[in-house]
Amino acid sequence: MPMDLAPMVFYYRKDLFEQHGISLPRTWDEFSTAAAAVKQVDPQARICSFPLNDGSFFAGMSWQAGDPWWTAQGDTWAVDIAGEGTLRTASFWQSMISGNQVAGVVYGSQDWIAGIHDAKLWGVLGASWSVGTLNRSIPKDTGRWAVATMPTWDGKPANGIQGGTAFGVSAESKAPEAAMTFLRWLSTNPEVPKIGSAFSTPFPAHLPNRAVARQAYKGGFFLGDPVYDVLDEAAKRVPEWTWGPNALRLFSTISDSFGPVRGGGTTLPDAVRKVQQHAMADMRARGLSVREGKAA
Amino acid sequence: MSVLAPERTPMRESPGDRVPVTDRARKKDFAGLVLAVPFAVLLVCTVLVPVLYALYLSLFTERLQGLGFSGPEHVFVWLGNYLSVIADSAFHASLGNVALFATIHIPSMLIGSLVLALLLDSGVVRLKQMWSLAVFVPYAVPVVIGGLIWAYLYSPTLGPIKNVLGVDPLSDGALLPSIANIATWQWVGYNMIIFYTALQAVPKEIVEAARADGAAWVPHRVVDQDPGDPADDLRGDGVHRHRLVAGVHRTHGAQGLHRNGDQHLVTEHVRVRGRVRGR
Repeated sequence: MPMDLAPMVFYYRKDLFEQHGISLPRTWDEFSTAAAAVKQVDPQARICSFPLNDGSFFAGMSWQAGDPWWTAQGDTWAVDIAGEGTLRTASFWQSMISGNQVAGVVYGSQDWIAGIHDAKLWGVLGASWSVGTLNRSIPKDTGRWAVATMPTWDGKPANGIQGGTAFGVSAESKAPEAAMTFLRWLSTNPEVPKIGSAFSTPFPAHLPNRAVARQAYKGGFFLGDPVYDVLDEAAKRVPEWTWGPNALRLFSTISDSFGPVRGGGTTLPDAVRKVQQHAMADMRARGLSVREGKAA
Repeated sequence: MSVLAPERTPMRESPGDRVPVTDRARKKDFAGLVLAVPFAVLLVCTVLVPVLYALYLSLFTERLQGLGFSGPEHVFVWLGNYLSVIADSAFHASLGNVALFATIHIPSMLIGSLVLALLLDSGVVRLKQMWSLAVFVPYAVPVVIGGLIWAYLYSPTLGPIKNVLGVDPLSDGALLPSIANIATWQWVGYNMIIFYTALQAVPKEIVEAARADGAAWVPHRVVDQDPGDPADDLRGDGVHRHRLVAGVHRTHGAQGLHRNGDQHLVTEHVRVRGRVRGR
């Protein structure tokens, strides 16, 4: 039973961008230029942070690049974590990290909050739920931030997703029908998104509920386009993707493998290749039928 | 106990009472067993059974097939799980990390607690209870709160440590010592209390005798606790007091006047006090 999804968007300090004549980046090339411009204005400031410890963030970035990490093909998983799109994403962020163009602080940590509070982070690559984080962390920043869809690789609309909610009922459940009744209520009852709208921007999968959430969100924090317009547009741009059976394990493999990138012990593309090997070995050890590379 | 003991002895001596006594003893044994039952039940149910069950489970693994949607199958693999852990390079690396952590943490914690316990025991420290509480408090702080406190202190942007020491405590090289430092901070007070208790248990006579024989590094506490210790007159003079008292004590001990030499001590101390005050 699907409940919600969390399209990724770029939150940025519209006031500072405009004040210093930096235009909103629409491609990753422009993003890199804008990052350099931010650093030039304030050597302590960065355009955003790239959290090396968060596998779901990197998955969301790679999702946009259009090479799904898993594809079910007949009775076999095609595993393609080191595919072309993912490696392009990794190389881009490696160059940003090597050039000291992005911060390395962990999303939601005290350093991160201090960063957005003190205008040392001018942007946040986050998801729909980041609205709640921003509202709670920097309530006085009302009227400074704006929301935009993610920059793209080649101008062709594409967007990633970071997180989402779906429920399943265990085959061993003694009351599967009761469980489904509850889950249907949770996912479709219009009162449910109103609860979340009090402090964030819930983005239900059930479209009538999304309309309820849009209406219930009081807004006022962001400049520019209404946040639900941007989220709707971002959700439309999301390409095909399948989560494999070892997704959560893979997130921790990613943070383990990306760790040494900070000290220069490895590079993101090399780490991504290692993650692919780990994922293959892990899935084989669990008896799954796996094949390396893109879906045929 | 001292009340019960004499009551029991005469009863055993009278032959007519023997049978009831054994009965009582049996009843007592039985009572002991009954009292032990709650402990035994909890031990078996919450420790032994889960441990054995975990050992049993460790011989199995779950195997999926194809895409994995048909659900897992339990397979008996003998010691296969153990072998794959032993062959895992991440396991070796983690063993190395723990060994390095222990090399830093254990000596620094033990030496730290011993030094603090000796200081507390020496009498050099004023406000003993306050200090021992202050050192002990980290042990009482919940681990999560302690972690948050140190996360703030270690933070390279918010915390003071990077600015003060010039080293980022969260950089690759400093990370393990930083973690060891948190553990040491938390446990040093606890171990200090244990050392301190042990020091308190050293018989006074032994310490005094050792000092009489000229041992310099004997805790001075004994002198403080001597009834009628004239050093009381000098309270407030801190370190001077103890050094001087110890000196006086040693002299008289060597002359065999240790216990009977209080009078001498007093005279000595009057002199000493005069000297200290005269400064």
